[in-house]
Amino acid sequence: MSTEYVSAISSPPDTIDDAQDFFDSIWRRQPEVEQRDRMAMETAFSELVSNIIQCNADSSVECSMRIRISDDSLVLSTSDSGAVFDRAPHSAEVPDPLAETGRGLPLMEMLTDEITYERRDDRNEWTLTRHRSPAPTR
Amino acid sequence: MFRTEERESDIVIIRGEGRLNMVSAAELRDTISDAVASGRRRVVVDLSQIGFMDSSGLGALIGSLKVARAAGGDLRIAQPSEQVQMVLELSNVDRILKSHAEPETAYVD
Repeated sequence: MSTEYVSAISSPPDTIDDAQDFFDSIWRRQPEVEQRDRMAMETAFSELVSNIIQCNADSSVECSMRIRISDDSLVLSTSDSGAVFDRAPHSAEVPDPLAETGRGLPLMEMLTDEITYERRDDRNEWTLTRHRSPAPTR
Repeated sequence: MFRTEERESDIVIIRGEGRLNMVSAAELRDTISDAVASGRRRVVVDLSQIGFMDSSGLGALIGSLKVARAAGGDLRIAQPSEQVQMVLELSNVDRILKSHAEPETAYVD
């Protein structure tokens, strides 16, 4: 059994805060999701959507977002109208602690179990999947 | 989003609420660099009301740490939330930015 939530932002004028407000609204309706899973997905979500906005900072970008919550996984799918993403998702090295940038992709990889990227019909399509943690035994 | 609270000597506490992300990161950098430029080079960032931080916010903290140290000071953090602590640990930044229990005593060694 799964539930899907869908929204979209258009930047400008929307910002990462608008996207994250959408994300927050989901978890208020799904309080049973483990805290660790929610924090991980929230962080990966912000890294992905911030990256989409930043890669298109000189123009505009529309990004649709879908989050599917099922019994065993959380899946975020985005489709954006921006420039082609030219780095392979799995080539990101963890920067040293004093680096100020370059952490987005490594964080996404650490916090999710699978990342896919595809360029299709002039759009970038990402999916981030995280397997849900089991509920703590009582 | 951020306000400054000058304390004893050259210490300043930076406080804010909400998210530390690409929207607020530039303001954090500016707030801290202005404080350091005015002589407040020992900075404490009170994270107790910051519910969320991503790599943009983390970059602002690290950039500000460098600014403070270049001026002969330092930057310390206090009361990170669980999510903020998670990001610090995953990025190994917890090794260079140790958390303190209270912003007011972050420089009491």
